Amino acid sequence: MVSGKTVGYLLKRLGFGVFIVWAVTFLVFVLLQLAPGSPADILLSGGVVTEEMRRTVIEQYNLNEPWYVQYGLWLKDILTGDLGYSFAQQRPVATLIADRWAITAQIVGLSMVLATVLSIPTGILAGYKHGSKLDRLLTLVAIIGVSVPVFVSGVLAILIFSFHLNVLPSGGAGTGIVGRLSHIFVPSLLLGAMIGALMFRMMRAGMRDVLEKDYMETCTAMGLPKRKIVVKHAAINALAPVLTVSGLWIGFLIVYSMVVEYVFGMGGLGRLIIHAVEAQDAPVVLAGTIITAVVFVVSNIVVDVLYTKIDPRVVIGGQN
Amino acid sequence: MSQESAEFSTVEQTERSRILTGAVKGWRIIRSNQLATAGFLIVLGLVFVAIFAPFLAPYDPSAQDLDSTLAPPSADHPLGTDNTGRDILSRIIFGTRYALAIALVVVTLETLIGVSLGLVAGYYKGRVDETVMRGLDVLVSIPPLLLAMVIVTTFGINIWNAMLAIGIVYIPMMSRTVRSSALSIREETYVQAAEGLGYDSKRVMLKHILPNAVPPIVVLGTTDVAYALIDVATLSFLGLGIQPPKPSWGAMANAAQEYILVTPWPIVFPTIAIAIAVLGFNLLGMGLREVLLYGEDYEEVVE
Repeated sequence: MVSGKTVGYLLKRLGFGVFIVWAVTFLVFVLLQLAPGSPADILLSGGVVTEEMRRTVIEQYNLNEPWYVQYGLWLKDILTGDLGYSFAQQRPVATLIADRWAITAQIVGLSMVLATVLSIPTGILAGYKHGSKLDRLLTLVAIIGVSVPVFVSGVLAILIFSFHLNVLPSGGAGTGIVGRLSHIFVPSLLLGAMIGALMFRMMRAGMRDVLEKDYMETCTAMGLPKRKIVVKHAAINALAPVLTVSGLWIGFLIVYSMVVEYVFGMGGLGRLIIHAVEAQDAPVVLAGTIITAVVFVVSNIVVDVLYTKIDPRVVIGGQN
Repeated sequence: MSQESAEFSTVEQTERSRILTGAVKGWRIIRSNQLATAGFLIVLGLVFVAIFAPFLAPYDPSAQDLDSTLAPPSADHPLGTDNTGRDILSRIIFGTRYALAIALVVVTLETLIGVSLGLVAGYYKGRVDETVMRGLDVLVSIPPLLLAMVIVTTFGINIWNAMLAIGIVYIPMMSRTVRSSALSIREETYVQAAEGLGYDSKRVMLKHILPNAVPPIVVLGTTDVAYALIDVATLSFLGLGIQPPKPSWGAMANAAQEYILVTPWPIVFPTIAIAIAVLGFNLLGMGLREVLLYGEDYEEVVE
């Protein structure tokens, strides 16, 4: 059932999403202008610069034009899929990213699945048995989970599993579905554990709030079985904020996936972007930022739509 | 003694006693929660180590001993030595200073700007609120670590640039929190009364709304120290933050990567130090959240 109101709301969200992506491109452009050295120098750094390369970059980015013309033309390039050229790597940025995004996407996806599997049932349990020994134990585990940076758990996992127990494939990203899965499982698990710990905390807090609501007593008074109350009524309501927040976490997940890939020596976006920062290869880093912003905006619109499916009380386009 | 200075000293005394009761109150709040107590002790320990680092460290953190490089833990070097024979324990002790200083800069930046924006948005509501919040939504769409990478790429690899970037991206969370407090506090009778008395808006915001919005600010600030520690350590580990040979934990882990097959200790101990520091602030933040924001027994504790 799609009402006119819903369509209107979604259009409004879409418009706002476009605004965000535009604002990020503008921010990136302003940073390039503000940075010490000329934009040509920054775009060219990371390799040996010849006079010809300088001419190419000035021409390609229209650096002799006034800033608003430069920006406009650059934006037009981005919209047509031209993300610039990496002089350090002698390849178009779009090609570099296209070759590598899949690994990052797979790690982000798998870690999201693992985080959900780990955190939602335990969060429900801890919130329901709030104050019990089990709740305290799970809460402590979650605090430790959010306190260990992924590069730390990554390094420790490599030391233990690859070098000492020799049970993990180390390095590379594997080929074929099984090979790939066996390579990305541990990195995704570490990332999933971190995100899962945050989700657990939200789920637990949400359960506590919901279970104190009056309608929970109504459910009990109506003689509904406990299990049904907890799972069907309380948990569903507690899930909504977790969903919203996981939309907000997507950018965070992408960046930490890059860190994990780097630690495990995989050839995803992580290595590309981190090496680009080291080499001061600006076109790659800037394109990576814009793409992350686009993914962020799209995921949040998807979450908004899912939200109405989970919680039918939410009339999209209504108050809040 | 003139009358004036006598008066001054009583003012000073009441000020001092106010700080004292504040400290007692703070301690009661912390003590009432196990998580907060554990976190507080860890944080206190870190501050102690940072201040007294020169007295606690058995060696000079940059003194090399090329006769014992990459040594495992021993009586001489309790946590072993790195690739140039520097004592890892001493370097970790001095690393506390970097960790705390950086986290403090990030969170101070976040708090100063974030609280001001949140107060203004929540107090004026309407168009001002809309503009501020939409502007902050743009920042939310860039992950802290990524903005730090962009800034470091364009402005050069430099820890100040990195701190600035991370601090800026933390602002929206703080602003949103303060804004939502301000929105509800501004409807309270005492705020209405202050406005009725004709106090200017700056005074109402700072003297009447802000003091009542402190608990969530403290909770968020504490948790954000933990996040700042993670982000800065990660950046340094990637070689994009603090550079070796400075004894920062992230930079130590970065330098030790090369020797991971020879000996794990130079990378294991600094990473454990990071995890402990983050854990301390997280425990404190979680505990404070339980008492200050959800606590049924908050009133009881404070009275």
